[in-house]
Amino acid sequence: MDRTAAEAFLSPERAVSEGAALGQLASSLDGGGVLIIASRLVEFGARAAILLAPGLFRLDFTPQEETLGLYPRVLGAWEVDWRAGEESWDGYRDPSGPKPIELIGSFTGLGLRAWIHVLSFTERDALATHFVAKAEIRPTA
Amino acid sequence: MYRLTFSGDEDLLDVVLPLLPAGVHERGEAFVAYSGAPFAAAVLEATGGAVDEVPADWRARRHGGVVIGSVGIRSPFDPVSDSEIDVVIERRGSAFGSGSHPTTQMCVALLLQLEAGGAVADLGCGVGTLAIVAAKLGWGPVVGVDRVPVAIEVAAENAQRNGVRADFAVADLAVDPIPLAPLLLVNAPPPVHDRVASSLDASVEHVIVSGIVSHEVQAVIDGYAGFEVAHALGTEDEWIALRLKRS
Repeated sequence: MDRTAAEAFLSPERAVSEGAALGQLASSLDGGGVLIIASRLVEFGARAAILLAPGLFRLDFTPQEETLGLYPRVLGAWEVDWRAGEESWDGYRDPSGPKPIELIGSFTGLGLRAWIHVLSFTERDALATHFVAKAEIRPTA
Repeated sequence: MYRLTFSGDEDLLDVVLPLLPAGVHERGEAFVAYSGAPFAAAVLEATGGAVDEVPADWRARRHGGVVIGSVGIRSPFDPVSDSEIDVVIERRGSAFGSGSHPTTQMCVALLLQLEAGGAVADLGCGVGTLAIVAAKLGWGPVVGVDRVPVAIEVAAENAQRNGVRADFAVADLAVDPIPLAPLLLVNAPPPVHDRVASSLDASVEHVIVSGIVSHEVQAVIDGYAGFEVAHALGTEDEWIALRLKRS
């Protein structure tokens, strides 16, 4: 896929427009790419879209008190290599954990790489978890 | 508060999840979504679902934690459960075992297969969930050990909260002596199983094993020499629980 086509996925206007119901914000990155941020309070047991990169992927989370279901949903016939920062994974359960949850998706056919960080704060008396997510999506070349 | 109930697949979720900030709950074959404002026309059109009104506070529509057979495990913030055996579990800090993890739930399911009676040791007890369930089912005496001090502190509080007698102590199962009993509950990673398996004596009749994933199962079973698998449970995301009995 040529660079022009890949750049269609890097539009902050599109990320804001299609993620409007999620309250998403976005901006262009220096050197190319898009930064998308969103936050959400999610009830335990609900599967909610935390972050939407239009045409590329949607990140769904299902929080429980001490476990977290993660669904990276690819929104097209893209070949994607997802990698998790496993050393950060226990940070959901352990509030003293030092790192946000980290996920990296390499869209090899598109020449794009998504670097995702998610902070979580569990409100146990509200039976819910607050997520703050950001994704930096950049061309790899 | 409005509730929308509908059926569909992942392709439908691709359309509606970006329009439903609070997400969806799976209820059997159906999805349920909640919203404080009327649902968008695009959501109603895409799902063709039915809308009714429910309490605004989502805690008021919860049914009380998780239910495994006759046992309900809930947090102090959940409504009272109508389960025959109602277990209330507090969790703090890095301590494990609120009951929300599938390994805890599978261990309870396997525990329910045994006729209650006799001593139990919960090795890696976290906040005491399995030990307390065992005590409520009629097992005793019950002991629990964990290497995390806050877990033991909370486990003792949980035992008191549930009105059961169980003794909890801080112990590192990698180096400290391992308490043994006719029934062992070991919801812990493989290195703990290695140490427990090498410490067994003739007093141990059953071991409920979890904290492992599918590719670790055979090595763990092999470690428990003289035992065989009486029942196995698993989840889609590869967590495994086994009930071992002496061969």
